[in-house]
Amino acid sequence: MTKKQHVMIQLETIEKNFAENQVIPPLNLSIFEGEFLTLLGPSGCGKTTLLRMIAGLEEPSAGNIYLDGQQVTYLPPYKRDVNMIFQHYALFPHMTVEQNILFGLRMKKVSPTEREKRISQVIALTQLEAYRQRKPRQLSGGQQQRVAIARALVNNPKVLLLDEPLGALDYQLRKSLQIELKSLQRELGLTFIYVTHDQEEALTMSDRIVVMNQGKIEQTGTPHEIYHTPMSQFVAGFIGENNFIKHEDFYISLRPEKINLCEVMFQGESPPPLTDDTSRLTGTITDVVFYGTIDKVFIHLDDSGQTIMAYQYFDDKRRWQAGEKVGLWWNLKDEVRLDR
Amino acid sequence: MKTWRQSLLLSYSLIILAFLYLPIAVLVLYSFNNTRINAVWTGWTIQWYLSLFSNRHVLDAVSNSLIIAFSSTIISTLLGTMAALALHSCRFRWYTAINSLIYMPILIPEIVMGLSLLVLFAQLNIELGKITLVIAHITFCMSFVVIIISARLEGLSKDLEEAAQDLYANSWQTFRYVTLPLIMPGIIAGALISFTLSIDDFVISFFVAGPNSSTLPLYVYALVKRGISPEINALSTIMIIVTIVMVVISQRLQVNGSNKNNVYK
Amino acid sequence: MNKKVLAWPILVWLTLFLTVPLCFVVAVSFIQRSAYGQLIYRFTIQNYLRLIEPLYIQIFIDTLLMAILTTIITFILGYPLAYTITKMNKHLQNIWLVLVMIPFWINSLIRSYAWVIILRSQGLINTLLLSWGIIDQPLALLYNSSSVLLGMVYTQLPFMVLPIYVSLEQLDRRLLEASSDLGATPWKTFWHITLPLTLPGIAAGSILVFISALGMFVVPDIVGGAKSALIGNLIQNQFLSARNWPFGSALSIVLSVFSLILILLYYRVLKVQQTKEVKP
Repeated sequence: MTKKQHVMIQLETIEKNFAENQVIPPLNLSIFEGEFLTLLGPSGCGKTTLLRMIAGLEEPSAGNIYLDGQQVTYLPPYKRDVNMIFQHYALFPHMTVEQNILFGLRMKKVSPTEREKRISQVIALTQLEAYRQRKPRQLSGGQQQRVAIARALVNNPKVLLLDEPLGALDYQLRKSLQIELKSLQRELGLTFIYVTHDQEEALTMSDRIVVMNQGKIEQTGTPHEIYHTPMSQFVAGFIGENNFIKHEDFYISLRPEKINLCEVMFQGESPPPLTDDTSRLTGTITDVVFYGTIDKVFIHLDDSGQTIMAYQYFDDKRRWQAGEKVGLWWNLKDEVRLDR
Repeated sequence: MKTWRQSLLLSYSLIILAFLYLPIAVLVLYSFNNTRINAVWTGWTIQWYLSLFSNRHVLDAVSNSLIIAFSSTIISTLLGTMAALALHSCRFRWYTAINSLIYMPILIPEIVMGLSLLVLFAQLNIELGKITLVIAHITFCMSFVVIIISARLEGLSKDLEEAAQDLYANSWQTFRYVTLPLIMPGIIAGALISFTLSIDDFVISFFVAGPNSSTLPLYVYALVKRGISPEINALSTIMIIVTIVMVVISQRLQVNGSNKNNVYK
Repeated sequence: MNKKVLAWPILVWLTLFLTVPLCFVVAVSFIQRSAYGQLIYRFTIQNYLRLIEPLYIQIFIDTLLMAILTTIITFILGYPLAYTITKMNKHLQNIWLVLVMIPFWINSLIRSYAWVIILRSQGLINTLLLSWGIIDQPLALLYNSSSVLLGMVYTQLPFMVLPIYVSLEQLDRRLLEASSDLGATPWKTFWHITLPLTLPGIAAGSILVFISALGMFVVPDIVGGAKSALIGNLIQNQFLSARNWPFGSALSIVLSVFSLILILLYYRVLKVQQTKEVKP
């Protein structure tokens, strides 16, 4: 990634208050051209509000928004070159698929020949040829979603905003649409801003993730950075599963898959000496829960009394049972130190 | 499995339904009875209907009723729709007070509304006639329009309007191409209900009608007070049929409209 | 453009033709009138004091009794009907609902008149009974309080059925299944689950019927004849025959205030119940 990245959206000390409540304290964020950026956080963290401010559906209480270098903070939504995919698609129920897709072009007064050209492109892209004359209610959830995408893309927006677009679909369909959406984005080279509360979705699709909590940005980084080097306890806990080992004035966070289990030496025999790059503890197994590809092993630590969870894979030498004494060890480089 | 309990309930309900419709059926049947004097059935005739159409008073009453119903329907639908839209998309500081005011015409006894308008017109020396009738009818029809259209707007997802704006439609275009088509069934239903209410109203009209502005229900009342006659039966039958047609159409519009346009249901 | 402007016409209209007239009525109720019905703009509370004369007290009591009886009977008739409708499939439900609604929209004048045809001395029932030889003198079925009650129940029944239907329809079916799963008989389920949970609908229907019955004057006017006067008839009489507007105004103020208090009470109870449900 050596090429100079062009900033597509710049949020400058943006803040939002509803009545007395500060929903989003002043916040800065740059979004680059062609990237798939995900706003990730629990519901009510302000991610949707942020997206709606970029779309123009909500006005910030203070601060500035720049789209492709232009100040758009107080521009109404219909004057911005961004388009949004709504959570429940918001397809116009009284219009056919074709009329839905053409709506934006008609409002922008694009010439009929140009309209025809563009609609055939997006319809081919989203494979909706067979459904042009259908009404939204005659379509399945996945098809409705494709209409919503076509309706946005046909306008050639500079940025596509997606507000939990897969939230209403079932698990299998969601999985396959995640891949479809991602490859679509890569193909078009379009800037996507994607809002979700599903960490798995964020990790699979994004180039960059912005983790939000209570209106604040907790961390920004690639999925890899977010997962392996969380910078706060919130991020460490919200994304994936994690163990927190309490120390006097800091925490150690440790992913369950990084923990190895081993036999404990009993009856006078001392455990092997610690090497410099590993750490070890002992404990008693309280529970082993079957999870398909893994077993989750819950261990009560002898010295601190905390409970720790470790994954055990089926190719491991030994199956552990509740009640057994067990030793745990891990590489020090897998520890992430977090201030309290 | 149909239990005896269910059969019992069904029979009970059928009897009540019969109770609701039997008098109406008798009225309709007697409008075709070939005798003027008593309840004995003497054969079919349509002479009572024919005599209605040659009765100048009836024709006057019909034309008065239609003029009043059309004018009050148009105005109350327009004002009611506007108010419903405003209430839907704006926050009013006095929301409860405004809402109560809009519900008032439905809540206060009809008779009180009629006589209060009579007092007003008398105090302001406004002559009673078609104008006062139209004013009164608009006043009680508007609330129904607001309620019906508000229900429709309530079912309308705010997303749709936002989506239109996101797709470059300004406020007017959003209204013209998205909101209006979606609430149209509600507007039509509201208009039909207004029309029905207006053409059927007796109590309020009774107070604010002038000597030359008799409407159909007022004319029927005058006839009833004079005694039973087959012409009343015929006239009532026509009014009943008009009402039924209007109500069924508006009902269809409300039910169908809400099923068709709600993708998320 | 601010859309609030759109609400102004209706608000101005309702102020002019609803609020102002009501204020006029209040004002008129406090002034005097001449022997010929002319209004004399001099303050008095005489019109209200007259309300406690035994003649009028009797009319109030008659009206209240009539309204109460109407409410009870429409409930007894209406609840099972609404209950039966909710047990039908969606298509049949719509048909039945429209069937219940249609009489509600038909002019109450015409519906009352229909009973005159049936009940009068040369009416359907008397003619039939006479021709079958069951009676030899026509029965006096019309122009008494029973015929008024019948007419009231007949015209008010849809008001009772619709709100009850709505509350039954909103009832969570799983609660009924849970109840029978826990061993309750259908009757016990109805008594302990359905009935208590549909109380708001019953209250709404009862209020509607009761208030509408209180102010009713068409039904008693048509099927009650001159003898059975209710408040509605009294008010009508004061305005159109006796030409005593101040007294008529005082009567209608009392009627309106009474009705509005009932409505407010209903909303209060409804609100309390809803907050209770949210915070157990």
